[in-house]
Amino acid sequence: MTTLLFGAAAAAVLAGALGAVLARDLVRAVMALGVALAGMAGLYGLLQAPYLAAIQLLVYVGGVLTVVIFGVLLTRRPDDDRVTVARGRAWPAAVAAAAFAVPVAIAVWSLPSSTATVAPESTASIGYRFVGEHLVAFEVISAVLLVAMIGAIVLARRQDPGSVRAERSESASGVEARTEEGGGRS
Amino acid sequence: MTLASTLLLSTVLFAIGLYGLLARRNAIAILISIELMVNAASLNLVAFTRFRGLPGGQALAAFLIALTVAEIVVGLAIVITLARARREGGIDVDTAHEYRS
Repeated sequence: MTTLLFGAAAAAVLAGALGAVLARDLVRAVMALGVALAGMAGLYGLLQAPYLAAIQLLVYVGGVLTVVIFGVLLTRRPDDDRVTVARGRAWPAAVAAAAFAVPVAIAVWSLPSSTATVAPESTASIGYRFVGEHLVAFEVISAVLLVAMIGAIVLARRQDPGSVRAERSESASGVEARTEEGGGRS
Repeated sequence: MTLASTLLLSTVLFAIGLYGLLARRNAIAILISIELMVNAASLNLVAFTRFRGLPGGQALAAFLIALTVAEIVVGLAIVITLARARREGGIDVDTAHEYRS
């Protein structure tokens, strides 16, 4: 039964991943990524990690996917529906991926195939790890998330081009020529 | 379902992501590929926790998820900035350097 479920989840992950990488339409690629991420949640569940399965569904499928879809739709223009795989780069990329996968797969497959498992860690125990041995990492991650949020707002904020140009020429007159050039582009 | 089969799956997943990372030109498609690769790494952590008792593996995987989310958010912000600066065409990383100013 577990083998069957594992096979199903693995098939979902691989099919979704292939779709995400090969689909021409980006919206379809994101949807395929959703299938792959949901399959990953299933795998976490099978590996006795229900906490991670829930996090995966909540954060990835619920959050990241939505944000990426927004990104695709916000940046897409009518003339964008063209091949997103670079011409002449597909084969070298496939060779590079195979050059990684084949040796690693051979090494992995030669591992002793024991089905011995360790008692699963409870969610409470993971929580104690967060505020215990990993406390510093936990706090650093919170800071990173805050910085990422502020950084994303600063980066993506729609600035008034006029005020920016005025600011720049005030701060350094030497960059005026460059600013003019940049303004002409945007 | 053994350690080897799980690791094999994550290897293949990582290779698919690597292919996408190298072959794609669109910036968002590259971000999607990176997602796949991080998920493969995270699957490795969970598999070793399950089959070999890696201490704290699940906590590490949770940290990994949080970091990836931060990376995706900043990456998308850069993509949106890039999309605003361009004149036509997709968000092509091959020509992104033209917008440097």
